[in-house]
Amino acid sequence: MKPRIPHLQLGLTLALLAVAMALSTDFQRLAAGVALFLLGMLMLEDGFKALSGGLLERLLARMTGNFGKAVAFGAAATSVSQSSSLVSVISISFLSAGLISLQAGLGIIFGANLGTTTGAWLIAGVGLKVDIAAYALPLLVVGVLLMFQHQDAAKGAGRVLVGIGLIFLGIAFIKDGFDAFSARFDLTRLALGGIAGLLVYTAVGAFATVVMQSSHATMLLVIAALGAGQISYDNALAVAIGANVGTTVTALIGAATANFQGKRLALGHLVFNMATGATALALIVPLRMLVEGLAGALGIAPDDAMLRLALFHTLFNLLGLGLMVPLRGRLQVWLERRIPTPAPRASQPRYIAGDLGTFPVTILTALQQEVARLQRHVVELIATGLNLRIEDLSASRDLALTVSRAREPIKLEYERVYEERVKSLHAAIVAFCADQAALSLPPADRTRLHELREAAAALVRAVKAVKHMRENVTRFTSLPQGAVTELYDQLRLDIAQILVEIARLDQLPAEARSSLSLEEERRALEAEQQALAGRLEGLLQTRRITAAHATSLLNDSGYALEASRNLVQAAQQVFRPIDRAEAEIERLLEMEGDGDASLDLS
Amino acid sequence: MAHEKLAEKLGDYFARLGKGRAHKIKPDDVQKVIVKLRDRHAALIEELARKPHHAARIAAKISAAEDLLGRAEWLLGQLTQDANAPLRPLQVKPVQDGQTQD
Repeated sequence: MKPRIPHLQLGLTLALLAVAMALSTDFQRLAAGVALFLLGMLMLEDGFKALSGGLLERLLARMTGNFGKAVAFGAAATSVSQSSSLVSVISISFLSAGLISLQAGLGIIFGANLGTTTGAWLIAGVGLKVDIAAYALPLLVVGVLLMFQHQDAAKGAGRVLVGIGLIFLGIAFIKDGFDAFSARFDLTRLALGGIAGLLVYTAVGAFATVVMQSSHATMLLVIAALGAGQISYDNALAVAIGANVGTTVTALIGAATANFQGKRLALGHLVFNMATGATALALIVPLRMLVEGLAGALGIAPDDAMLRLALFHTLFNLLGLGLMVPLRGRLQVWLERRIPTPAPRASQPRYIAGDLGTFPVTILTALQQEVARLQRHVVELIATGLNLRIEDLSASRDLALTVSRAREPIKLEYERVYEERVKSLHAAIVAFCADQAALSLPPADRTRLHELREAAAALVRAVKAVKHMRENVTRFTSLPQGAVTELYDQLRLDIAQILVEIARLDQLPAEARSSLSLEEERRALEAEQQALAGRLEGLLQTRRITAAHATSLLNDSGYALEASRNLVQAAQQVFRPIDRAEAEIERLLEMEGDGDASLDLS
Repeated sequence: MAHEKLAEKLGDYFARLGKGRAHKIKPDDVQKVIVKLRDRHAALIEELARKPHHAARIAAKISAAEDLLGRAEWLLGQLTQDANAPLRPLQVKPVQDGQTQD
């Protein structure tokens, strides 16, 4: 739930509230009840975030590909957390980070709409029928005690209990407020019949939900008003429809900072709820009759209008689901046309753009994808800088032959391409890592954040090292010049082998690759460097190479080694396994800088 | 001492784990990595037979793969020994000159 009322609206609301509360103590009680309820919802949402310890996110990550599972997850998660806003915000973050498809996102949102109807049942069935305030006080005491504990899980559980306690207290206040209100006023005098009544009260429901940023609060108010006889049953049905429409405004506001995918999901939510609302309004008479029929079968007492309203709320949301599920494919196509994918710009971040929320999985996945994208740019730039083409290298069966045949210099403004495709993206990655949301990661996940930032820096170092050797590479490999050309080709080959291995790993599914295979590249590289040094010395002694050429080669072999080492280091960090324990093992087993490994390759 | 650096890294890892800054490793996780490393080692041996003209490069890779396997097996041994108290930094046994723990 994100309370973001524009200033003018806020001022007007505050002024109206102040006047109303000054005039009526009953209204004061009612308004305090709503305030406690909303505060309780916020506490509950925060508590669930902390208590689940990423469980909700891990479950959500598995809900991709299967629309039915996504709907079930949305319904279950919203029923348990009683917060469709929390589920919507996580879905938008996951979609923005590319962790779930738009189809799965729509499924979750559809399911969340159904899950949110459980709130009406709880309020109508329990909340307003028992002395709920009696349970609120012990919950608040225990909850506050837990909130002062050090462990995150205990703090989260404390917030959940305090949240439930405040919600109970809010419900009790609202019930009392309406009961006292009923003794002095009869709001049913404001009841409107016919189509006008339907439309006006739908608008009232939507407006109340937009102002309070919670359809639960609107449902609570209307059910309590219905229980106190302050609203007619027909008008209450219209308010329930309006609450559904109003809740999409919260999602639209939430998606304002999301990327194009998040915006698509918010628009899909709006379409779903508008279509559901319009259908419910059009079919209100048969729906009302269906409620009457089912209420008898479910054992709902004939005078229990509150439970009938809850049943109506569930039925029309089910109707919306039945209507929109067959149309989900068309809806997706329409959304993708309406909000097109922005043209990719190499200099702009793609995955870390927009609001990813504060969820570790989305933050780290988006960052990994962005650094992997930077790595692709770097691999291409370095290959071109060495007058090679990465696609030729990847397709080659004999890399040495491919390198030795690549004699034509490739026109390239190395510095400009570096500025456009590497430096700007690197800057965006550094800024993202310094972002508050990223810094709020749990300590265990911060290691991964630092590792990915270091990978991006290593990629930049590799590009700069190749920049220094590019001129000599072009000078000595454009035309065959004997031994010096062979040695420069060897330098190009050493780097090309690593580029090809990185491109190969990049093509593999994340679960099939291991960053440890790059340890082999590191060892092979060291062996080749030793062999090159020995060969260079031999050529110098036999005077098959000049001292000037030897100096250039010694310098450039240093740059080649620096580039290769940085490429290997970055790739190891980018291609860490998703499984966190396996990633820790790979970090331990890496041999960079270790004296443990037996290097006897002379 | 064989795997001296690895033992140091493991000590650091346990220190991070104690502070909640690392994810817990179980022996089963190491077993999974060992299986992957064995598969990779076998693939390299096969590659060496297929590409004798790249023998030096592939031999270097095989040597790295064998070192990684040795390190993974040592790690598994350490975790299995102390499986009941995984949060304590491990005591690495001193090794005599010329003797390895693998």
